[in-house]
Amino acid sequence: MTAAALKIRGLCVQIDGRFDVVKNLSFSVCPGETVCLVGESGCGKSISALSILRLLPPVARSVAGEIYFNGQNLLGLPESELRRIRGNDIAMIFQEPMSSLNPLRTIGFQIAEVMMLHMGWSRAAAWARAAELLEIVRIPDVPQVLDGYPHQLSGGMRQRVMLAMALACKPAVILADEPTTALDVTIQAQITGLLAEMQQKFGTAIVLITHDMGLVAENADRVVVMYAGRKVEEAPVQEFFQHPAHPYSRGLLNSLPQLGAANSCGQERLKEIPGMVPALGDLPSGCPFFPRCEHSDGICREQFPSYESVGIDHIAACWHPRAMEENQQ
Amino acid sequence: MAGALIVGLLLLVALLAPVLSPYPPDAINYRHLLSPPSTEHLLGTDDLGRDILSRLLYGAQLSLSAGISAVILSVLVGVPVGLVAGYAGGMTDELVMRVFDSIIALPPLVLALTISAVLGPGLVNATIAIAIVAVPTYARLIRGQVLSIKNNDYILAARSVGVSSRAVLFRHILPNVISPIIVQAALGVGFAIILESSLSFIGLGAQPPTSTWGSMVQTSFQYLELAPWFVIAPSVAIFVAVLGANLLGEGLRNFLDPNQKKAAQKT
Amino acid sequence: MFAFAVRRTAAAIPVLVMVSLIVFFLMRLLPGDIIDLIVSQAQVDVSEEMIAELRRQYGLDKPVYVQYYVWVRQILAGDFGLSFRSHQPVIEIILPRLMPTFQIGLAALFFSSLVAIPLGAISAARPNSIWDRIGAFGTFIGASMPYFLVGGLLIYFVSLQLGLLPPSGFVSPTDDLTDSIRHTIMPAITLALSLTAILIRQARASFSDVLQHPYIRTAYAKGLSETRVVVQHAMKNALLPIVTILGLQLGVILSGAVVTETVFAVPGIGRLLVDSILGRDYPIVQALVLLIAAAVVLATLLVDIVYGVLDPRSSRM
Repeated sequence: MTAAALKIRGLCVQIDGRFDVVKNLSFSVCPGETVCLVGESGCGKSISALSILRLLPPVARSVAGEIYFNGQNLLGLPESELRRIRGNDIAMIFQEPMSSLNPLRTIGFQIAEVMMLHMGWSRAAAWARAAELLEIVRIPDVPQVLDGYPHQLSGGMRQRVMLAMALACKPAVILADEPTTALDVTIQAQITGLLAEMQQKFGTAIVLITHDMGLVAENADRVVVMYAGRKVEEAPVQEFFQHPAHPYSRGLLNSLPQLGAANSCGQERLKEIPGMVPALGDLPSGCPFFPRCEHSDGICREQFPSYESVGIDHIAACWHPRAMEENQQ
Repeated sequence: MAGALIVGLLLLVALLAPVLSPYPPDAINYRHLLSPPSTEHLLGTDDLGRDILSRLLYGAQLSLSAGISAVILSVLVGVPVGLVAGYAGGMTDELVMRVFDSIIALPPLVLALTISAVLGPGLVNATIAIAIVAVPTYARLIRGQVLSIKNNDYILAARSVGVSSRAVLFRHILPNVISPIIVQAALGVGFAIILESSLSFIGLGAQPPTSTWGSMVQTSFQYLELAPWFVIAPSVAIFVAVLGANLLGEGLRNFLDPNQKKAAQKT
Repeated sequence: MFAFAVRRTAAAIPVLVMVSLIVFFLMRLLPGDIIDLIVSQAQVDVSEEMIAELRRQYGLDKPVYVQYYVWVRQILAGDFGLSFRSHQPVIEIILPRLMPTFQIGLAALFFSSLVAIPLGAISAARPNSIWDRIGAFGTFIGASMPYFLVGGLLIYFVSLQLGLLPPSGFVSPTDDLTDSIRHTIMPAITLALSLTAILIRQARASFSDVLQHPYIRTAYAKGLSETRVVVQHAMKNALLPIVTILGLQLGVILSGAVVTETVFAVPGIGRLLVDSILGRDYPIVQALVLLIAAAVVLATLLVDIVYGVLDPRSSRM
């Protein structure tokens, strides 16, 4: 196994110093690998990604744990050194391509800026490279787009610009926070296709945050499932889809339409996970999922389960892993 | 609530002026013209040898009551006009608002000066002028509020069961739009005091022998070099009163508008 | 863009008409009209018939709406009548008075922007910091200080005690630039105080609003420093609403000019207005009030159009 490009150990994030939005999260991602962070909205996926680069809003500034990149703990670095890593070694793509680009600066400026900053390039060199990058992400009419403003582009085109911006300094890691959620399905495929292509070219490690299981199936090498701020399962993608261990993971997969079941339309309804994600203020003690879990018992209420190996490279935090499978057998 | 404290103290001082004043406010003393502050005259004396502190205390009565009456006047006119314009809508609303737009195109002091010129100099006329200047502020504020709530369910319900327009306006709408008016009124008192003192400073406000803080500044300014305390004392009094009113307004805003309070805490 | 400008201009016309009506009727209400003036200045007794004849000559016997029509036509032709006191054309009296007011007002805008925009930006970027507190405190002080207190203190200390700057008067920049600047500084600072209070508030609000946007997070994610984020990515966007606010301060400046020009004995239009009101020179008052209102309406209009030009998003309109 190659050395991890990015390694997160025991990440904890608190809001207002009281609510645990992320608790004890650990995972790592290797060069050329895509790790998908999945879970319902509000489970702490985006917060985790933002805290890797310490981009959290001030109310959530309480971040503990360790985030290793190149042997350095990012959480311990002074702001000035972290700035050299942001956009340079670790780049980020956001969910809203509409609002994540500055409406009053030209596209060219916004891409070139990164290279002028991190590579010390001249304006001319950076703009020339920006044009190349736009070619790489297959934007038509490059000269026109360079001098244009974000509002002149469609959502998909804007996300390509974001991608070009993220790739500008050939980062070792890209954090992509729901990069396709706001886009049409056909555009989604184009963007993820591009992302995969770039990954192959540059060996980039990708952390892809999503709640879209289809996207996970197509892109992930490994899957990390989060629930209420905690990692509840981690597995290679094949293993995850074939043998999900945590009841919550199974719930996520069961709520997907299955291709095989498509012709028996209407026969079997999609299963939903009963109940709701608990509010931040009143997380139950013990396993946060127990109020919604059909297999929960006394121990689940009292103690958060430890991470146990349930297969090759496959761990889960559940007192009764595979309980459902056993029931079915 | 520093604002409430300042305003409360000033009102108390104005009320107790006869008790607190060390001298009668118009006791002329030709042997102590423009004398600097001393133990005898804490804030010195003016060009006629009158005790400045005593004059300030009595001046507080007039300055504050002019400011407060101006606000009461403009609320009494502006609120009903705004209520009716917002509630009636259509041509009435359009016409009233265009008139107010045009009034607002005139800078406050320029308009107050012109109206004072029409009415003639004097404290009462200055107060009326200031009130007229402020009317559009209250009318527009209340109109905006009315527009935002007039289609709420409870208003529609009241109308549908045949409650008269006047009753809907005064019993159902007014109580719901009153708190921004209270805030604006507190800020308005500060604004009115500034305007009154400016008018008096120019010579269109209080005329002798009536004397407000503003007219004291007017008299004193020619003695700036000889007797700076004579200028500074009434100016600072005006400053403190306006500051108190502004702080009170802000305080009330935070107190009456919980949304804004939350937003303020967040940032 | 052009259509947008035309639409805005068209919307300003009813306001101008209404303003002219208000001024027209206010002037009719003033105690003493031109006839009274002529009568009082006449050396001989004036008979009722002569008064009636005079009223006819001045068109005062016509219905009010005809008088208004004639009046508006004269004004549109640039004829504001003659001063009661000096009998010069009003417009010739007003024109030389514009420069001092303009120069001091511009300097005041410059001073207050210089202080308020950076202070507003820092307050917004670092809420509750010491700068934010200074800004909030300054806002209250600035908004509550009467002009004559600031002006009085400046004259007393800077001019009378230290002898650094002249206490009053005005010198044209074409006559002596240095002296002109020396005469401008104190009135401009006095005038700037309340402007600064307004601007700090607006700048802070504007910057905090812009700093909430996702593209600011993108800028931080690129590795930009706080200063660069604020200057390169927040400034232009935050300045748009601030420019608007600056343009809308013309009324505040002209209001303030009335008092500051009295305090510093500056021969500007504020001082002219006060003198004309006290001296009952109504043609000048009428012309000034009308011009000031028109200037405020036009400034608002201009700001609207400039805003449209500066924001590339609105160019689609």
